[in-house]
Amino acid sequence: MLKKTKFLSSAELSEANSETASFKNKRSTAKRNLILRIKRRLEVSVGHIFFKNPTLACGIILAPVIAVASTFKSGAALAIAVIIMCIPAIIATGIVTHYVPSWVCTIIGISVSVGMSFVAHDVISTLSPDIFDTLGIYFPLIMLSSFSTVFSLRYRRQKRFFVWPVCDAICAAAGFSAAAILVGLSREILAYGSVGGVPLGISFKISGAAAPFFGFILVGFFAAFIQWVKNTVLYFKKVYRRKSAETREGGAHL
Amino acid sequence: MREFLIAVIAAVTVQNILFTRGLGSSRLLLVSKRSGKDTAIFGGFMMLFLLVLTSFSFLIEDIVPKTTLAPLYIMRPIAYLVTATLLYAALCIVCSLFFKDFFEKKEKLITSACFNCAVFGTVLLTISKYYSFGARIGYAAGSCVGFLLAMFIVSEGRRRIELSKVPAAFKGLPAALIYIGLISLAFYGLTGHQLPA
Repeated sequence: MLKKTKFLSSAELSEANSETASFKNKRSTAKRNLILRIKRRLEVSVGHIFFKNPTLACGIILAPVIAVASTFKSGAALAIAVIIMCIPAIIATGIVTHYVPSWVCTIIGISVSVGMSFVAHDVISTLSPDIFDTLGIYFPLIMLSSFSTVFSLRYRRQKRFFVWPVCDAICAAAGFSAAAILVGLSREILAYGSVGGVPLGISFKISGAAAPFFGFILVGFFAAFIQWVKNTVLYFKKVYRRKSAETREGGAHL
Repeated sequence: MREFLIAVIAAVTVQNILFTRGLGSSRLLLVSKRSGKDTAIFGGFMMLFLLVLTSFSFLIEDIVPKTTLAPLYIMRPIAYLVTATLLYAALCIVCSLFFKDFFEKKEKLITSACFNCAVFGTVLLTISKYYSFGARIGYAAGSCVGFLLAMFIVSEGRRRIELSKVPAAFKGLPAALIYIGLISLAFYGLTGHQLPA
């Protein structure tokens, strides 16, 4: 038996077309919004490397950088230690943060850091066995860093979180590594006129550059540089937005 | 008693953990912005935790050398960290049972007071210098007092810097770090260090 084909009237046809069009529009808008949200979230994560650098902008893990990062090797050793110890701790606390109280989160973060410290010790020893004489008590202090507590408290307020703690942890660790290596490199060039123990032939040296007070002052100036770049970028963004708004208003008048 | 007093005076002045070693600088910058009441709570918990952890140090020093998992300079800090974690857990359980409202409001502050480089670094320094029990307790108490004194100096300095004309790039953290660096330079000279000619 042939099925009766229902012929839609023009009104019904236009209604069906508009429903399809609105559904397609909604899907493309939702897709566009998702892409924008992912893009903005990635900007936040990547911002941890420079504009929200944990050491130079937020003042986290300052003690090892100020006291110990007086050579390129010690800065690199600190960077490796933080990457190996802190990223797993942040991931672990990011996973459990919604299921346990925050003080248990802190304990879990520190426990993971303690476990990873053995791995960090083995990795750093293979690169430079004597570096632990320089690092001294500051190597175990990295286990206590506020990285994991800061990030776990941030994610408690958010609903869905698993991917972003990993991104933030990696970018924050990269930011700290860059800061530690930069500070170590600068201090070694100024204090000893060498890089990684290799002399550069520079006669001008500041012998106090290896002391902790110079670490405070140098990190302060680097922090000021980051703040200056941030202020400049924000200023130009504001000018660009104002000009775009003026252009749009001028076009609307025409 | 003499060792105790000498250790206290040394820890407060010439061996101030912040100005001579940079320990606890992150926490100091965070807590110095808070009110006087919060600073007092922070100082109280820090002193309590530091004294209890330091008094456990002789017990830990008996146990740690017998383990062979890793070198002593790795196992020793881990043993202290495990002890500190257990003490912190006990403190949190007691506070959450008997002082629930206070603990809910000040949990973050208590965590900052218990787990920071100043506390842990002080304990490790007392061990590395082979102090007697009295000297360790004195050094721990003096370090806490020295840290709070440093916090007072830095918070007052930051308040004055905020009220004066500072370039926009130096406002906030950069100015605070440079200010701490200059006081640290003064302590460097006070302890008798001289830059080679």
